[in-house]
Amino acid sequence: MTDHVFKILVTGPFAAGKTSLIQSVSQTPVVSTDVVTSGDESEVKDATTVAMDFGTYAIEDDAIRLLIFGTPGQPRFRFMTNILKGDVDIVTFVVNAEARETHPSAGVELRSLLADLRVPAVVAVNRCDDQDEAEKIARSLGATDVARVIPCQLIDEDSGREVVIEILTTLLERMEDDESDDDESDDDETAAADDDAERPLEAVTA
Amino acid sequence: MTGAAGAVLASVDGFAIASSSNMEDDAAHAAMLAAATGLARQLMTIGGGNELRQLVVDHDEGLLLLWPIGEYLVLAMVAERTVDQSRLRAFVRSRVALLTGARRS
Repeated sequence: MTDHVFKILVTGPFAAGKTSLIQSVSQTPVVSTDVVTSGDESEVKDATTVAMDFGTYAIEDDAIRLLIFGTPGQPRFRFMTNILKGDVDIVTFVVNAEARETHPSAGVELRSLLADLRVPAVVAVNRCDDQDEAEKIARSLGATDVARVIPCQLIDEDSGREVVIEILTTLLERMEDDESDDDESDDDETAAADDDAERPLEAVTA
Repeated sequence: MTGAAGAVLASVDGFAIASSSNMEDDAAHAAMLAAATGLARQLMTIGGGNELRQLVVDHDEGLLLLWPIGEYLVLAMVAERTVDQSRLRAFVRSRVALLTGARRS
């Protein structure tokens, strides 16, 4: 029986590694809308997502199930992100460490998304092995409420699974925070007015 | 053709290739056509399909008909509900070789 179902949005710029992440971790066949690229984009890669990717990941005999929705990366498909972002529990933002030219617009997108959704975010810095370097790139995106920054090599399935574990850890921490908030308000309803009772902000990576 | 109001030709990855002069020039249209076709290719697996032939968006003001044209293109036509769909489809099929030939040359 599934006790918890979480919706995860995987987004980020074109050719960051979003589809690779979902394909490497999904335990069910990935619903993919990859098509051949054309024009300048065909010089970067051969195929691109035009609508969505969808995969799933479950643990503890399906007690916790992740529904993973990946967006296209190009701005012309932004309407798909607007469709897919509804009711998400966490955002996984993928950036390619080596594609520095994509970082400024990625930062604008990430900040806009988090201001809109108000859910935790995990930044997966693809093609990067160094935690300090990954955090430096994440800081450059300008988002101050990122829960975790993960250097990864999404061409490697094990690396993708590490990203999912970080997503799960972030979600479970958030659940515990919510439950402890509920307990506090049960114990003392006046506690809600106390500054100490405010829910802790996500850890700032800076 | 009676009942056909306009057409847009897009690449499967969402770039506008051509459109009839009466169509609004909106880059998002080509991207939406590509996304819809991409999803439709997945949706047809629900019915066990292997080849997407047509996608129909039936709305209160008429029809939007989408056809994959070869491997690389999508053609959309805005039409009135009264349009002869089979005739329109036959017309488009007769022009497919021309469109795909133009794309690949």
